[in-house]
Amino acid sequence: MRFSRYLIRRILQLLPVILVVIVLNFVLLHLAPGDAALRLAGEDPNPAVLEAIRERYGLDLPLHQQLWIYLGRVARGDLGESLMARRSVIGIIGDRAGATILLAVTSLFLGSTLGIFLGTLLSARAGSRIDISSSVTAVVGYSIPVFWLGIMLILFFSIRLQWFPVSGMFTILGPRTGIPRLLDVGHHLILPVLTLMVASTAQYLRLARTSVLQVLNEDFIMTLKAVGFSRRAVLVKYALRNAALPIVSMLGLQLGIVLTGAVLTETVFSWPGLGRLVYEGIMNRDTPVIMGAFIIMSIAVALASLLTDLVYAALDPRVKY
Amino acid sequence: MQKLHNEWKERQQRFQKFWRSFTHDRTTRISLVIIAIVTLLAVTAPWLPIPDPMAFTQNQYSPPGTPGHLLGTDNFARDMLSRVIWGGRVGLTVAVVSAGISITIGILIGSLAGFFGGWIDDVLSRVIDIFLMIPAFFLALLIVALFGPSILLIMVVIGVTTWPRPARIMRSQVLTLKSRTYVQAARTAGASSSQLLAFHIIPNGIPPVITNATLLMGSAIIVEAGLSFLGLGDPSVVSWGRMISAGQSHLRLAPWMSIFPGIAMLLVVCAFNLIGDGLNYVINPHSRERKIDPGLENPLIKPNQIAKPNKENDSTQTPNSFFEISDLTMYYALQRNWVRAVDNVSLKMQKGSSLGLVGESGCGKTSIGLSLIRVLPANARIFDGNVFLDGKEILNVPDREFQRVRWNQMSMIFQSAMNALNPVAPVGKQLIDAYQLHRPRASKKEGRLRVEELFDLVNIPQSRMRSYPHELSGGMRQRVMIALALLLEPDLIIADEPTTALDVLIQDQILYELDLLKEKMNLSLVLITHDASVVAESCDRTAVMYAGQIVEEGPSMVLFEDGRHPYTRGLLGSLPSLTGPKHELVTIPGESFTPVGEVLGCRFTARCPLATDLCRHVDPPEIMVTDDHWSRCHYALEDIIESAWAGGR
Amino acid sequence: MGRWLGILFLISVLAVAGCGPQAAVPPPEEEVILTYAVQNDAETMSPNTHGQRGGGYVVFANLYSALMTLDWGITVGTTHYGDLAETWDVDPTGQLYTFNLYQNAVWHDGEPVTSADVKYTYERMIDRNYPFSTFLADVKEISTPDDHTVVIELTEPNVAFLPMMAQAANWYGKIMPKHVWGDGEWDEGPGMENPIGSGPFKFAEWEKGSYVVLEAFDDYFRGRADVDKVIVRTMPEATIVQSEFRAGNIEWLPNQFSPAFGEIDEYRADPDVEVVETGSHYNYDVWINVAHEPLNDPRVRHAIAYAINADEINQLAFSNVWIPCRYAGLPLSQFTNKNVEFPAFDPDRAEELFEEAGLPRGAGGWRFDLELIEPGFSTTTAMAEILVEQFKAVGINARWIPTDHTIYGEYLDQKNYQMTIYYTRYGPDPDAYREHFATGGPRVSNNYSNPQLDELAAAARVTTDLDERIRLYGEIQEIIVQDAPIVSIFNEVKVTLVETGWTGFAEQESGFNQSLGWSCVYNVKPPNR
Repeated sequence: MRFSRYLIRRILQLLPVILVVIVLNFVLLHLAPGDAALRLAGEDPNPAVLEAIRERYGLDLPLHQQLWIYLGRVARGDLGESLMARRSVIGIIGDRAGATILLAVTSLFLGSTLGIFLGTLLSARAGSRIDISSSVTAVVGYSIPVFWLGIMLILFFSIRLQWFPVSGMFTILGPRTGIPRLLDVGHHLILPVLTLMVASTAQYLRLARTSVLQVLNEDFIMTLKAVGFSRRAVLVKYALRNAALPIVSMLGLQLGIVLTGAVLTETVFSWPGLGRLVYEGIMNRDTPVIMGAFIIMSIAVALASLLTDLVYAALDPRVKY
Repeated sequence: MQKLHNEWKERQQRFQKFWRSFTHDRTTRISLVIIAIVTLLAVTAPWLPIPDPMAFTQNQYSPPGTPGHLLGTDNFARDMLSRVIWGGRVGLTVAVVSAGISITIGILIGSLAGFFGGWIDDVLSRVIDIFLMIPAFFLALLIVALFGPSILLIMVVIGVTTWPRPARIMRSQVLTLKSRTYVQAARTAGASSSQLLAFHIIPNGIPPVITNATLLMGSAIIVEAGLSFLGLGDPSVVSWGRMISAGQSHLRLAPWMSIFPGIAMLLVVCAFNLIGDGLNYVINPHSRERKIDPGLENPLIKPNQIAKPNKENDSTQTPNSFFEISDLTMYYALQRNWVRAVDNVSLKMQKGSSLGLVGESGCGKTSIGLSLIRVLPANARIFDGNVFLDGKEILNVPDREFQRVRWNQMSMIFQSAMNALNPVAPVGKQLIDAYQLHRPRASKKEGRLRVEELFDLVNIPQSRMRSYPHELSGGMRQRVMIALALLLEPDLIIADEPTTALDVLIQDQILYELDLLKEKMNLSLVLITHDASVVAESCDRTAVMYAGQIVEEGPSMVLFEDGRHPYTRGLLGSLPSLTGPKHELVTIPGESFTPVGEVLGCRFTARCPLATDLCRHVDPPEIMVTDDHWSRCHYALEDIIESAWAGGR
Repeated sequence: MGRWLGILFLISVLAVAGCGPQAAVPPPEEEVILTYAVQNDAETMSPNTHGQRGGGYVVFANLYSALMTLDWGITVGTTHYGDLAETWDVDPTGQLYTFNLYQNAVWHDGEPVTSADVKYTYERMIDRNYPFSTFLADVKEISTPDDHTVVIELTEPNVAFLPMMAQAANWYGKIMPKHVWGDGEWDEGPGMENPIGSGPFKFAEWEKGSYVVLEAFDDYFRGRADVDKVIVRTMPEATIVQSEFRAGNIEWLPNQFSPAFGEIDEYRADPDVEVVETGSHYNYDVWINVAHEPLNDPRVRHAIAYAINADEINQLAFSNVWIPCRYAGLPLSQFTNKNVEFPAFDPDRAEELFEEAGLPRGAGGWRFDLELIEPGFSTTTAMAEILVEQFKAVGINARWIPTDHTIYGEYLDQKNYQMTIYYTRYGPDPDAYREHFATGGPRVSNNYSNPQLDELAAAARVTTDLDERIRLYGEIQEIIVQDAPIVSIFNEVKVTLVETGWTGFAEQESGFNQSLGWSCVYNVKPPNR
């Protein structure tokens, strides 16, 4: 009961986020130069063409009225229609979200797993040469510009070695269904995921290393050692679980970072994802698409942080709803 | 004037101390050098003997090493070296200005929220939370795309989209700081809210924000590069991000076009991140792991090869006591020194007796306990010694052999029971796990039965087995620790500050129960504490420790009544009553002595009211006062000892 | 737990890595597939309601037919030719146009293409003010005497009517099937994603954000295309498109993806690649806003012309592939008056003129501030980067204000920039001079106005006498060079890379006058055909 009340409260807290996102975007989009109607009108439009476009897409209404109409729509769960594609924004986002989720979740999963694994290993060798050099390497890992890394990986693995396709998400006219399709997508997925996961691996490595080290310095670890638990048992069975708390709490933050990386990675790899959609939306001044995508991304980040809190609570008995 | 001077000097010292610890790490030093060089080049760029970064020369795509173009030229035949240097100017500006804007907003909003609390905090915290959920990079992308990519706008946008994190940090800082005594004092002295914030709270709360700022500086450069890649870089300035992006389309002809700015950017961003790490270590020293500087091994013999020079008591000789420590010597590696934390300590105990080991913190008493149970920190090394338990040597045996002694014959109660238990597991489970570790064939049920039995023994309701440590009171947690120590019915328990941090009433209760248990189970007890009253209450014999050495040992009653070492007298000398207020050791003026290297004379000299030249130059021997009482003081047998603290306290 | 994670990681790595070899599924041998890239995904499959970006136009060109069309054959003399129209005729008044449609043209669903479809399409465009209506502004009435004849009557004679509508048909102006859309809106309904056209290729598949697949239409009225399948991939990053081209996954690298000009020699040496250089009816010029102080002084505009070093730009930005052009027209056009030229590079003369105009060097050595905008193409950004430095050399404190396409459009619409690099289009009919320079013309963004020029342009529009037109446009060019509202710098050269052996692309001579538009690949033939 208490849990469901907590859940409802947390979900209600999303509303102001959505409202701020909408108003912020609306104000920005309308304060800025650049008229979507000009974008839609094509070559050398005569004024009548522009006028007709503005009227058709409701761009001639006063700002507050447009905002009001939009808010009303969002309240009914409708994110409106794209100015360019004349399709529902939800549908457009739906077309693209899958690719981004695949890319982001795979990178996040592999990056965090590998990072935690390596970080835990290193924490057991804290202060050693390999530890210091790995830590510095990790800093390098998340200091590399994502797009540069992506292009380098393509040049080396796709062009030079020809191990992977250069770009895209699947072989066009390739297998459409079943296992071959999965394998095909998997093959295309490797380089983008590698590009995107380098930063998260590095960050998780450092985080896991510090967290585990911190836990290893805690008193109860000494108790465990005194009682006679082996180093390995202490590390894996106890320290890692306790260190999981800060590691888990980074998930929400990481999702934001991965989404950022996604727009660049998607551009480099011609990956048909959400990040690219937002970029194109911005370039087109396709207001409904931009706002819809922002709302969805904010909700995703908020949900990730909710999930984080729930996992946190499950891991740590001290946390109460 | 003098006061000001002192204050300035103190500040200077504080800074020097900070600087030393900050630059201790080699990666931090290298990073600082990188930033310093880049800054120097960036600032002096207009006066350096390099071509105009915008000027077209005659040779496009000249490779690196071309005379006059150390790093080659780009597609417009502009000098790459010059462009990389000028790019540093823009990069550093972006880093500093963006991070500056970000933390300024963050500090302002964070401290307002934290300081005023109430509805202001509610509102501002919500705002911070909301902005944390908006993907910052996309917002930056939107704004820069909409309003046109000028470098100024880019910097402002990066600052404006990243402020929530420093705001959050600042808020929690202010929350902690505002209840501090000095802030309260300033408030009572009549300081206004804004004065409090400006002079007392913000300056002290800022360090973690600064750490965050260095990380922000790195990411600002990366964000600028990302925007450039998407075609949203400011073309009127020479930035590394734009150079890399422009270089992408010339990768085949002129890879150096993107490689050199890429390397420069990587170095600077890494340096910022590593400096942030370095600052973080200084601010949170806990995150710096203990380790032994590789260059430090020399003066010592490796831990396993323990030398036995000229010992009369050879390890093969069977001792006549139940428990005996002989010549235990242990070092800690601290920064550049080996500190002798335990120096030739020897102790003996009979079965069923209790020994108090008392001394101020840092004297080495806990190290003895840890050595016995083999849980030394990584920077500790046992150099010499023997430990006999029930006639068996247990210090110089392999871990596997020791595992049979551990907890079965000898167990330990740790100080600060709050943290000595795993916070995320029910206490009962922790005990059962330990039971099963040593009794691998025992079922879970047997384990539970044993723990229930123990809970009864130490007076905890069995229902509490399912509780987590934080759900128990301090006394209850300490009882759990005792139950853990009794788990396998050992002969010897080492209790390290078992009652610290408990209130006096509970303290007495626990000690009393411990005493009862000891009698009932015929336990031997080593009680390590800084609290003389504890020892007086429950120990047959007492050993007083100072700076790694036992300075006096004998029956507790004798030591309390007639200590023959000035330190003992200061420590135990005048306990008004057993239940009265405790006398802490801090009342002995002066700082504790840290034994490093060769030590001449008595270690207590500097603080001893009776110190003479003899004390300063000659190491005092163990002087037997009676058969079972000795003292490490030149004047142990003289009456003058009794006047040690006569006037002072 | 650690072991568990390790195993999981290993499995995922193996799973992902293991699929390498199977992934490359070779297409059936006999099928001819042509793959190329566009920068942005198509937005819809319905072509006419609004201006699209690259992705849409490239698909529509193959999916739909227009009435009249035009391709790069314009550079060798042919402006417009028929697409659905087999023949056409203009009556002597210049107001009545009669089009005879191909009798055997059918829609992809098998229905015949009729004159009713054309009438339906154009009337809807006019009614809704769709973008193509700009080019139908003079239409008085459209009638359909029979199923395959369309008659369009104009309110006044307009020599440029056909060439202009043929050119615009590259973007929109595609004929729509009346029986499919009927009274329904063109931006709603199933046709948005399952389009029915009458072009040489029919719709097969659209994987949004990734690619569009088209298949040769067996019943196409000009005969089935040689290419069986067309794949249009959405690829934002030019470097990657070039990589795909080098990897042999893409056969055609159109202009917007062409590599750095510096690399062209390398490609020329590659036997697997044909480097195609195609002229164009676009010049790249500097447009000067004559309403802006001190640019309103013709001496200042002339001084600016003297300050521009086209050869330097050509070398640095275009590896001397482009053609410097100081005419107020195309180097190869019969309408170009080669007796008048904009001033050649002479910085000293520029400085003299500035002094004359009362603009001495002031603080910091600057005479005045100048903001330069450009539309954000790789070519114009390169020009801007160099121009700014050339202006600085003569004391103009020039600053390059980057814009994206939308903001750029707004600058042009508001006519409030100071100077821009612009692509002046001298075709398909020289009536373009009116569009670009006559008072209130649709492409006059720099507030330029000269009544004498207006008169000449109006006269040239209604006469069909070639010599007269050449004379009138010659005079117009004299005025332009004298007033210098613009300064010509280059004639654009499109650099296209084609996999050796493929022919018939619009940029290749083998594609001139039969490509059915800039982006249609109907005429493309694989090697050895």
